[in-house]
Amino acid sequence: MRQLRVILFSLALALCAGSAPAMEATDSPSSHPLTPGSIMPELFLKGTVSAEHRDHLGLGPEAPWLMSQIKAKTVILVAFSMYCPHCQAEAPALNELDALITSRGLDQELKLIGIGIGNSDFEVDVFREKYAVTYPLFSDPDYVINKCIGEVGTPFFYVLNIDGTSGEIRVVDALLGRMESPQLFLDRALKASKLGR
Amino acid sequence: MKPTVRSLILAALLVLTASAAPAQPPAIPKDRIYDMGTLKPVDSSLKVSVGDPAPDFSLPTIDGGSVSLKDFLGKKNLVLSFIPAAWTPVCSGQWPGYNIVQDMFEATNTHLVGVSVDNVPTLHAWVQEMGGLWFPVASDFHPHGELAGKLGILRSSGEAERALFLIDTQGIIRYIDVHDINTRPDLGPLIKAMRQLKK
Repeated sequence: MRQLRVILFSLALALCAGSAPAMEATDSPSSHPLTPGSIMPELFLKGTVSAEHRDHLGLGPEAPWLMSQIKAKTVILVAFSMYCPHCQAEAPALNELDALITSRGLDQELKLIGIGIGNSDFEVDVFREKYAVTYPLFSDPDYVINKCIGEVGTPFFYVLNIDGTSGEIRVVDALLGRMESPQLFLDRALKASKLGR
Repeated sequence: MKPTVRSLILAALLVLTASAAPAQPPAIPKDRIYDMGTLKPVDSSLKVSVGDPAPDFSLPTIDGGSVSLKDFLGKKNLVLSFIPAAWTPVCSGQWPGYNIVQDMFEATNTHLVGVSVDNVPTLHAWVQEMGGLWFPVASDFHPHGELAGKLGILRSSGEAERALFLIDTQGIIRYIDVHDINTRPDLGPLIKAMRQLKK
């Protein structure tokens, strides 16, 4: 019996070690993410965005669009790249996150957007079509936005609170790498943003 | 050993096996990438132009085979994607993107071949580390950079430029992008050229 206990204990240990999540991201050597509590500079968003998505975000027809003008209390900004295998793997989970935001009735206050870091409009379109992306995607072909958000690796998640009066964009949470799950990440974002309180 | 205990151990082993198998191809960890800093954007002089016949070549591939220009003549258009070196930042982030556009190559009857002046074992290890690629990867290692030299894209440091060549079924070069070595070429113009060739 003692031998059995040892075997079971060893297996339990191995299971715990095996379940430890590795950071699943394409990191950048120059990365210096904005920390929670800090202010994000204004972002000038560009790209191929459908009328439906522009309406959803409360943006006009002409780019560039200001990040602070997005009609929401909180924005989840996902920095991704078509070329990043982790972003390719995360794409279905992000569609799930988008569906979850809607199904919980949060889609007026909380908006999900993606920014293709170093990706042209064409490359963002490839990603959108390949993974039937349901939320608005913008492009950042010259890394201008990425310089403003800390030259982050991908995927990178910022949870941002937008002050509707002053236009101030405040970082309330940040995550490098894939979500543990859409549900857990949404709960985490809601807690950080204090939405619904 | 009691059957219940045996079942427990078996179940635990099954979970372990499942959790050990990677669900998706990994990106190469940052600490395995050698950052070469910012280099002179282009350090060679092209020896071919659009409209010229592509030079003949036969190169070994990482699957133990080889790839030659004659394999495609009269059959398929061909894209040669040269990258400067394995295990470097931009290169490690370029070919994984091509993994999700295989359908665009097939729709335009175009075959993609990745080429580097690294030797076969190095390229094999690098491609394995990035989780595999759907297209063949060929080595222009020996004689060193022979094909890159014929095309005029061999840098003075011995690496190739970051370059794309589209060659039609008649062996004629139809598109060239010798790119700034420090940045990744936009996929858009290449796919556009492939689509125009198909018309």
